[in-house]
Amino acid sequence: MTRRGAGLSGVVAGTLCAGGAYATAWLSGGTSPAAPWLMVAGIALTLPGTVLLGAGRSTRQPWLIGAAVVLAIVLASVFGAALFLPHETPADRLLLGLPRRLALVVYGIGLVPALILPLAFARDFRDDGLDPDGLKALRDECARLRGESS
Amino acid sequence: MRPPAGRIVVKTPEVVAAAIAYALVCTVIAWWASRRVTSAREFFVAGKGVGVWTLAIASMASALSGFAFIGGPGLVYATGAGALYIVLPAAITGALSAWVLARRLRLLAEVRGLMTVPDAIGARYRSPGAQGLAAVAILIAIVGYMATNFLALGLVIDAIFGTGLTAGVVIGAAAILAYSAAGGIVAGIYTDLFQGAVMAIASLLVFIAALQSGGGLGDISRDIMQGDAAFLGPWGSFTPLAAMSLFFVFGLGVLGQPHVIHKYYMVRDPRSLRWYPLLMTAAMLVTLLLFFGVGIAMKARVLAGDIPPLARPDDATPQFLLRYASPLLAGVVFSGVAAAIMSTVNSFISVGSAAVARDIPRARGWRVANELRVGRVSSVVLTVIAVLIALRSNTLVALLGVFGWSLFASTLVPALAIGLAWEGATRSGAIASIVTGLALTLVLESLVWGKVIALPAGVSAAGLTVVASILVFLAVSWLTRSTAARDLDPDVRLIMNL
Repeated sequence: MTRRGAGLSGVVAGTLCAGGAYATAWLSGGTSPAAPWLMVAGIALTLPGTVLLGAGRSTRQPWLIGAAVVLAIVLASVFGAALFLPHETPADRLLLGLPRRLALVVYGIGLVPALILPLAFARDFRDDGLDPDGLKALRDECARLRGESS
Repeated sequence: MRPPAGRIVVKTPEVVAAAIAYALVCTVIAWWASRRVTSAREFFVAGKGVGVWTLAIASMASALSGFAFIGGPGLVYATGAGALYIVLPAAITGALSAWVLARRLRLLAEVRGLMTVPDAIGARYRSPGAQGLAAVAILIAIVGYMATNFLALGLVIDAIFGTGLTAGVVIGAAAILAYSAAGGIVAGIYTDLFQGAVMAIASLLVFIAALQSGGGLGDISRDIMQGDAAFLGPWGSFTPLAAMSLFFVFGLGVLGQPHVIHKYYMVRDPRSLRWYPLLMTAAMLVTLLLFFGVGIAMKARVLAGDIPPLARPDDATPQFLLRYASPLLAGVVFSGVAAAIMSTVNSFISVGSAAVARDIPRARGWRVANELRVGRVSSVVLTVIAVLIALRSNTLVALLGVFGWSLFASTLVPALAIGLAWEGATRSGAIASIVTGLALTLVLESLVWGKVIALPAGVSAAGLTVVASILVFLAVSWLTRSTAARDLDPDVRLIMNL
């Protein structure tokens, strides 16, 4: 399967999971224990899938795929842990100033991707053909293609 | 118009001085920018002359409205950690949006002269109809957003200068309109740059003050855990599904925010886009510190018995500033609130005027001789409509306000973001998804808002419409897949695959 095919599959499967989460919640009056787990799958498939689908061909594949895989793992594991771990009590120790599960969410979802994804994008980004000469060549090529098709 | 209960007044000399200084700087920038605008290209896309630092900070300022400074901290105070799922996607969305849209939109602007988001949809599917439908969805969303933001700006101006709410709305709208109509997006971008800097500085300083008010994050957490442990649970008072649903909608929805993504057209050197996600993500995270910090700091102080419970959640930021910040910092923050509102509204005016002057006429096959003039007149008309709604009907403001994000996400994400990445998308799929997003948002959000139907816990109207529009887009594109190649011009295909 191509990278874009995998991305599109992720978007389709993730959106279906999110829709499934809403459907099971609706049918159960909001009490279905499966609904949040389906939404975890929906988020962890759709967002990385969109990255894989959306990135152009002029990318360094390992960085892009690595970023998408890390994103999927982080989203699934942090949201899964927040659902799975026991509730904290006031006597429990804090993790970096917050109760354990909230710390996982705030630092895991709110910080880790912010450190990884922009750097992966910068490493992934190829600027071949984006200089003034390259842009002129692109304009000429696109004009030629439009002329042929019209 | 019904006056707000429990009016906040912050009319201290420091706050007034900071607000006047802020207004003066904005005026100078707007005057400078208005002298540069001589064409529709400069009015709508700043002549493709914007640097990446300016692009990132202006995008942050446009993306964050006054909600990040007032409503958001209030929501954290009222509902706990669940409210954070609105802002947590900011760690992801800068890179996500850049990967999917930045390069393609900038290159489409290069070879096709595109200026608007509906332009891109029209070019992608060779479809003026899809372009026009997208423009209609954008216009409906924008008018509602503008009305809610004008109302919020009126409250801020009234709190600082004691003008009264009606005069505050009119003064605020007139100020934004003056520089939007005269200087277009050039004035918008450079005032956004200044306003974004004010927002980031204000947020960082307030976050530090918030931590100091409670003796550090650990002590704040302990104060809250003693009185209300669920507040700092991972979902706050939301259900897990409701909290994650916010994350899903706001994470994907950023790909359909026209006032943010249309700025990709404006970047001077596309090679500089390499650093856009890093700058944008850093700017967003710094500016959102206030959202998190003030909400939990005020909750801790209330639970510790230092201050009485707030009359309204939206009082969290003003009350925090009056009690725990220096007068000068309070002045900077109130200017930051005004900055957040003004930067967002001015981008809406630009996008809305482009829809009226360019997208809808093209969809109808009308030729507009002078897009610059029509754009300026449209700016005035849209502002007047939004002000009238803000001043005449609290009900309509509230209803239109809930449409905004949902409309953008459900009508633009499938057709634009997925469509520009997937050659198998078809014109029929795009039109079907835009119609689905538009109709479902208007009907479902109205029924929920009017309490005609109640959705089960955790099921959001915005989430349902986004899921439905994506699935309709994929399904109809698959059913009409034989037309996919015909719906895609070869030059657009070339750019999609670069």
